[in-house]
Amino acid sequence: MELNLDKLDAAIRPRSEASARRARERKESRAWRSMSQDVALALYHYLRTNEMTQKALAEKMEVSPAYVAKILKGAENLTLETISRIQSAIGKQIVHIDRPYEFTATISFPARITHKQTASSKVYSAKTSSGSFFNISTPTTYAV
Amino acid sequence: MKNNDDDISIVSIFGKSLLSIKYGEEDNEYDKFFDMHNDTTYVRTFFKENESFLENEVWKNIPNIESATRQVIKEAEELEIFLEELALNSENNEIPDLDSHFKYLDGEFKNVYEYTPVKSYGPGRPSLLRLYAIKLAPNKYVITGGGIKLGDKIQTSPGIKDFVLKDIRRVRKYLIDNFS
Repeated sequence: MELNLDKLDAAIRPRSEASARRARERKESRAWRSMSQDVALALYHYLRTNEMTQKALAEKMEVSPAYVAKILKGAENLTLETISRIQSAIGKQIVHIDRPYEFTATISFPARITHKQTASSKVYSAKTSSGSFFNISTPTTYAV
Repeated sequence: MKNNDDDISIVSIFGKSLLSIKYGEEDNEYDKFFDMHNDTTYVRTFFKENESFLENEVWKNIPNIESATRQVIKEAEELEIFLEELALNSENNEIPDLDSHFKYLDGEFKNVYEYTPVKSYGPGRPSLLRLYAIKLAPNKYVITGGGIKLGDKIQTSPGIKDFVLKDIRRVRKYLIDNFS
């Protein structure tokens, strides 16, 4: 029962256009789809460990349950807005961005600020909760 | 669904080296395999339904069903890239090629040397994925299907026990009846 390779080769058909297109899409979307799948899994993990339903998440995100189901399939090219909604809904950051420019500094803001413009200068003064005034010097430093 | 041999056809995935079985109007088995195992919900649902298998000592490094899902998705992604590279090498008589990748089966098909059933592992160690094929000639394979293998044998693995061996037998018969 030796295989007749010529006869077999003659019987080979091309991939259907739909299959070929989906294969191309799998290949071309690999990079972002991988991220989408990671977001989906992070969400699944959160839902499971916090015993939250997909419906409850949809309500918190103010989207439809069908859209949450789409996100969970890991094939959505998620917008930054959607990622923000997800993070806001679950109260947890799931996407972390590398910030090599980040620096640490101290913040110093008074409890209350009122603006007072004098005739001779444009120095703004501030009133703290204790009632004393002080000048706000600039530049103020702040944590980033 | 898969009962009529008239419904079986062979489609080219990559040249004449990497082929796939297609049943009727369904998608071919190669693309069906990779579409399914790129779907987070499909894979996670499988692990949720078969969570008890993850308690096996073999899977001790997988802490939860989301981790298992991620491993399968990553294995599928890497395997698809790898198979295309091996198929290209096979077409160009370069190595590594498809022959260096597919492994023979144990059990029922252990000493079968014609229309030989073979398997491909995913890149995970241990691998959760299996893709099965029939070796037609050196560097010429036709994919018959695959899935997630959680048990130590095909017969005890919920993801594949119901169809893998049946499909292999059916495709072998189709090939012998039509091309020998």
